[in-house]
Amino acid sequence: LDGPNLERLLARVHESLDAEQGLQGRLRALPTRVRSLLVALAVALVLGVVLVFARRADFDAYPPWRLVLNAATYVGLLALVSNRVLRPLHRPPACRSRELVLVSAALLAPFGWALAPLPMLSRVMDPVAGGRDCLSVGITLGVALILLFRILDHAPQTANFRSAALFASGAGLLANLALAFHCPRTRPLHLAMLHAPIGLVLLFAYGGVLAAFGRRLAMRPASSR
Amino acid sequence: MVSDEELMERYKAGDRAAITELVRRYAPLLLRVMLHQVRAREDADDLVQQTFLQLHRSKGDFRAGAQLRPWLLTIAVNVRHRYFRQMGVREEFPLEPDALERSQPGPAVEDAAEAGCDLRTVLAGLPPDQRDVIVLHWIEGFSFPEVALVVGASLSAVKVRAHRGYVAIRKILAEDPMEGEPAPSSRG
Repeated sequence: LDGPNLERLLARVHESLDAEQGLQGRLRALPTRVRSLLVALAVALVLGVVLVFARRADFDAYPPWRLVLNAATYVGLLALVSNRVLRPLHRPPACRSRELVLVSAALLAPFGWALAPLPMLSRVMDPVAGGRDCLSVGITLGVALILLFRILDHAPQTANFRSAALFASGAGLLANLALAFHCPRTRPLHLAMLHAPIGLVLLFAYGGVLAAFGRRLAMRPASSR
Repeated sequence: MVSDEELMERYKAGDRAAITELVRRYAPLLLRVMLHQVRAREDADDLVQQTFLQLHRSKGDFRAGAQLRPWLLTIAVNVRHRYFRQMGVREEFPLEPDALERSQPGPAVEDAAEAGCDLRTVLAGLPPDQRDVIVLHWIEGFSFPEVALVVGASLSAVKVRAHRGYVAIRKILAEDPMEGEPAPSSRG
């Protein structure tokens, strides 16, 4: 690396560092534990808003242990997915097979809950009350989490189908977590058709966006990213 | 001379001159590491630049007492992995002489060239995990514990990879005597 080439590289490095001075750059440069905390706060905010303003109609009649177990499944998996998404590049590469298992579990867990035996409610409820907005609410929350992940991700310009799977599985988990506290419908068909597939829908939508635009982004010089 | 770690601490504190010095110190090494597997020089330059960008983004995670060199090399290896993953191609090795000629080979490369080995062709026959270990330890002179930190494997796993890599190299050289011919580049 001779003098002129080194100077050119230095200029490019400084140019890319200058581009990091905005809010997004500052958020990305936060320590990993702070970025993780931001995701946790966002999830807590969503849950809080749902519980206060859009709680399921049968909340008092629904078995609390089941709701807690349901939420614990989603929160636990979401914590693991977030840990992978926010993994900084100074740590050695994550094990690919473990990541595949995690994504599969995150995408399939909502189907498991959808097909679980129906809960015994403590009083009779209208089985079709509410729950008409599940897909739109779930997808909106999921997209919001994907955007947050992209803002906090250290290398969003190198996103591919593998990272799309991680992002979308996390988004699907958040959507199902919120819907578990929002939608009073307990029928397996409703849960399996309108709740559980949100992660998969987001995976194909986001994967498609990346396939269409990701390669183009990769071809751009780094200084312009 | 100011240590790498001290420079990093200064950069974390907002001293832009510190990153300039770090680029001067590490860009040649990073470029060599990239050129061992990236075909085009422009892409290798781009990846070195991205490595420093990632260094900036990870600066909040750098803890006092940590060593900067393996930390930075881990970022470089990850940046390169992501590059190949996004491009949708298998990690490659530059078989054109010009890619490595432009880099400054470490002492082991010179020794290998003197011994009459076409190192590029030989390394191209290794799996990526073994190639990383051989390149970092044998060519760039990293210690095994440093290589273990960079590739995220245990010390024993790194030694096993290195051993398997050496065995594979010997096998490649034994199978094809042409591999033992001097490299076309100006090594010797």
